[in-house]
Amino acid sequence: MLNNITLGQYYPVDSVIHRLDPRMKICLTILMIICVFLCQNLTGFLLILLFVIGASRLSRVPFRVMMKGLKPLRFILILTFLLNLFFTSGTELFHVGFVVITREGLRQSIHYSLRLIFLVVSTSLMTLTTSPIALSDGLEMLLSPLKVIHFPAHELAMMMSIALRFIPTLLEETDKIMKAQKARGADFESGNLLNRAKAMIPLLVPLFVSAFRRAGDLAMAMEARCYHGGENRTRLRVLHISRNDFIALGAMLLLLVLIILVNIFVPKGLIL
Amino acid sequence: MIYSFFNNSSMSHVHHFIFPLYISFKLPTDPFISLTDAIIREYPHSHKQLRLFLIFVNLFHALKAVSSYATIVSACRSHVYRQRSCQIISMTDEKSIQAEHVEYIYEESSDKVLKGVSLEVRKGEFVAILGHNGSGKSTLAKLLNALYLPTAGRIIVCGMNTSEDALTWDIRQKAGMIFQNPDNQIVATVVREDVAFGLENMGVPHDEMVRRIDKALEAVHMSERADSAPHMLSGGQKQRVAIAGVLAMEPDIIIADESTAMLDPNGRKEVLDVIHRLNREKGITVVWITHFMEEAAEADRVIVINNGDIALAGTPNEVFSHVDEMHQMHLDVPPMASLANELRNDGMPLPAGILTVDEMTEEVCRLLCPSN
Repeated sequence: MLNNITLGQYYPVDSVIHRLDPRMKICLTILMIICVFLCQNLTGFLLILLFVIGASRLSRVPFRVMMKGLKPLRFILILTFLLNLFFTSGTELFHVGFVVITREGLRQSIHYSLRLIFLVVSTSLMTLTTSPIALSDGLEMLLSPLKVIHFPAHELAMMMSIALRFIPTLLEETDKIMKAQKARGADFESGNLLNRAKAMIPLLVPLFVSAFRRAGDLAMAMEARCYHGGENRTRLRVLHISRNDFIALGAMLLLLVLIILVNIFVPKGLIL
Repeated sequence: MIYSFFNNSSMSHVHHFIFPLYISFKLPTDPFISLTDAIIREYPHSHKQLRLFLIFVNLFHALKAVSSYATIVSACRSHVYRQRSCQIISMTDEKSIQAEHVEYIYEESSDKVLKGVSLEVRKGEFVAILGHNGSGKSTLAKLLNALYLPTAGRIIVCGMNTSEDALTWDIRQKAGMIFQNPDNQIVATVVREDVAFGLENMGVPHDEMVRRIDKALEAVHMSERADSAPHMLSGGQKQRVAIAGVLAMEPDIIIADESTAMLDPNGRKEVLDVIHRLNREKGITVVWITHFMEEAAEADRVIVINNGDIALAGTPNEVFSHVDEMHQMHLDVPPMASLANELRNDGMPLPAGILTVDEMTEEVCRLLCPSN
């Protein structure tokens, strides 16, 4: 059951996007979020759509997998759309009974929904193409200037990678404890929500106890191998900024500029 | 003696620099020099040549020191190397570990876990430490690489006192440790990166790191699994990765704290094979803490710990011939030793120190048909 565990959303294929530097990908994602929020009209969203489609084709992640990230959001999407549609005042387009649909309402609801969709798709494009370890490496490097104000960048990254390392181990253990408790007659499946929550106690208590014991052991093992924090540490994984990273950055900046230009020169409300 | 001590240590490039200085300071009292003096006395006609030779040696080392000066400067930048300037206590190269009247008390209790243990481990030796649960053998292991510090007494590892704060990281590099639970000592999500962990902490440069990792993985026969995730490996493989992680740090001593206790027979054999080979071929000193008698029987020397003190010590044959004492300490002896004891009690004149089936067969045959 645990043989092919994939951590996070990472979709392991080799592509140009996968090979980009994780630091750059994090920065690009932040820029993308800025683009999405700056965008004021449909022309802009069309540009973003083209960009996202281009990037996702380059990443060789199937469309179906990309859209998976949207699934849990569908209720929020519908709710945002409907609320904005019905409760925004402005010039009336038409009305069905007492429900008035305004021009502004239609505009806003479409814009907000599109923003949500692009936010999720572009961030999941990053998580799909970057392994969690690379991601934590990238974060560590990006946050390392903050060490000056005693922000624990190295410690956070180390915690993240240890967590990733122990997820499969703890899952395996959960499975084992569950089977052991079932063998003694524990019932995890039936009963109402409260009963099922109660049934988890004999599962969680041994799991926590063992996790703490593991933590103690691991700390000892790390110290035995000369771990003394992030100072004077060298790295096996070295991150390189390549030509492709700059091309990607250039493309993203171009998009940002285009969005701003569109905002200025294509007036609001001309096309929705 | 001093000469070979310096040469044997892996920090030799630092000592090539120190050596000539050291010689010039210590000239009158130094045993190496007094040895040459003795030679000079014996062969007075070679006096001049020897002097010349010594000058030449000093010059040679001085030259080497100059050439490796850049290396030293870059090495001194890293935390670990910076602390090398601390004094080195023991000058003999024979002893890897020397414990003197070591006592240890856990903070939360008032009982002594160790009550004045003294022991010595020679370089290249394979020492097994036996003891039942709670005898203090695990505590002893953790004292040997400064994870714990002795409450009283002192421990000297490769000439470094474990109580000296500044030497802690050097000691841990020299005396690598493997633990009991294979899962709880692997830090990274990929085998190769876990082997790198110790090296990253030591501040080893990237290229050197890659070279050492490949070598270490090859030594434990795990090269093909270098890019696997640890949870995909068997217990024996995980322990071999742990050994590789220690090996990459180029230790003189490997301390294993019941490292086979959680493994199946196959895994145990894999790990034992690897560690015996490292002991034999690379001359790494091994301190093997275990409660498996068969493992102890393969060691050069066995030390039995009971209630925080050394109860028995000697070769496996010597130790396992004390069958009744071993039983009193809730320890088993290998089946053949036990059988030999029974037979002896029944009046069969078997010699002491039978451990294996072969030895038993031989002795019984000798008794039954003395003509052969």
